[in-house]
Amino acid sequence: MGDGAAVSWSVWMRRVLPFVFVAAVWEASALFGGYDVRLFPPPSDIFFRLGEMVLQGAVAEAVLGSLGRLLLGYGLATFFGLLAGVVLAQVRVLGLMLSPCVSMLMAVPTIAWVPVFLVFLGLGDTTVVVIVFLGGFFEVAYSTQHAIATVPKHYDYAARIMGAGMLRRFFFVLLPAALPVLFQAMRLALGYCWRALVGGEMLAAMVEGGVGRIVYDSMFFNDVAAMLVGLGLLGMLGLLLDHLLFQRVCFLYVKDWCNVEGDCK
Amino acid sequence: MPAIPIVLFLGAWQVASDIGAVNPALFSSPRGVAQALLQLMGGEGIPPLVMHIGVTLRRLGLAIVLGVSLGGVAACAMAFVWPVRWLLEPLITFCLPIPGIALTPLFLVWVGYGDLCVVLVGAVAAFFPLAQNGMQGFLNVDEQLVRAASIMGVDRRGQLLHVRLPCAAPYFFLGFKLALVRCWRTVVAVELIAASSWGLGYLIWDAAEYLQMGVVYGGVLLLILVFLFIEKIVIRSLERVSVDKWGMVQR
Repeated sequence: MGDGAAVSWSVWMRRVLPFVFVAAVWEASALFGGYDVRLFPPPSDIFFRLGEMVLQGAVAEAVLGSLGRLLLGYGLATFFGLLAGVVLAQVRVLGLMLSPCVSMLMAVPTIAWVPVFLVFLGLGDTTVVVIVFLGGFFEVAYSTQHAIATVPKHYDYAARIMGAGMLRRFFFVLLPAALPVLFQAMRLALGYCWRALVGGEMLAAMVEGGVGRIVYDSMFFNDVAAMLVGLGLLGMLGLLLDHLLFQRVCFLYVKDWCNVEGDCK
Repeated sequence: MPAIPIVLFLGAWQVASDIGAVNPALFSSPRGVAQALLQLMGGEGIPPLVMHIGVTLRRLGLAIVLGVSLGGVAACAMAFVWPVRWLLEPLITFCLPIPGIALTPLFLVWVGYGDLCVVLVGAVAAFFPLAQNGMQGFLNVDEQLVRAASIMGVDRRGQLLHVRLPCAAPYFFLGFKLALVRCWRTVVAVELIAASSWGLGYLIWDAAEYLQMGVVYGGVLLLILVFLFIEKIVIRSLERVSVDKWGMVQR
């Protein structure tokens, strides 16, 4: 964003004012609407509850716990997904054998793995991380395989004629050519992992703090304000992660290859 | 051809389970899965299996109709009325990363267990992609085309119906596809938590509680089959009668 005061004012107008407006209407309707504010608490209650939870340390614990699980699961999913995709694309036999299985398993909603892994691993962190991993793995593996397989063959031939070895061709020709698609897949996978994390925490976390846990647990106390705090945190963290990991990376590294879709401002 | 690896995989699974390389109680076996599914096909009246699938599909259908119609209205309102866009666009950006399943506790408190909760959460999940993509579609209409039509004497209604709407249609279609996929995932996820008696999600969750792993894997298999049906048959045939025919998409 620019540094002029006019720019920041217009950003302020566009990004923040709508929320203020909605909050004001919401608050007024809670004051004069005459419905049960316990079921639909006004923003002031939500902020009060948020303050309480921040002071208790519940928010920090939940956010750190969730981020730790997400980054572990997502990191594993990206690493093994890339590895599997490269192997499937380069070793033809394996690609032919396994890619139907990958596309079949991709069709399972990640959350449906939760009951399966609850039986194997029980409640707890491990299950959640495995669910997050599964949420991203298939997407990354599938896209990597396709991205590498669809790099035009003559790039490879040209490099080979000029005497490049196999490793060199892989790292300096195939991988850079596939990278825009890979980034796109990794971004999608982050979204999937994020969803899987929340679902996994709600159904499979035991005592560990997590943002999904806040939302789920407050159901048992009919504490809608805390639930909305949790949902707000989910929205903000989701936006922030996507922004930090991708729009920034996109902006810095991939904007020159203009075939990256999405908003690389 | 693509069936061979899957058959090999099933064969390996069966053998591993028969010779005791994996614990049959946890991993079940293809035979166990088939038996579990057959058992669900038996019984008086409508077989339970059909009932589970039917209930899930009905919830999906209701949710998608509700979410898509509201999303369509929101898309049009945001594209043509600037205060609505000013108000809703940041809210939608904020709400998009919130997974559908996270809304389940909220709707459980509001409407209680059962169909209504599943349908409402599914509708919310379907709403956002459609609203966002539909709005993009209207905003990306080439104004030159609209001006050309207006010079040739087309009135505002005609411009909307014959220029703007066809130009925005592929975006609406993309939004609908995304909405359908998200809605499906969300409906199944919510069924794990909030369905009281029927549905594929409920079937899987309930079976896992009683360690009936055959039913669990059978349920996952059914999820795959239903999704492939939706993706390969429903969406493909919709594409054939819409975006393909209009020549909006290059393949």
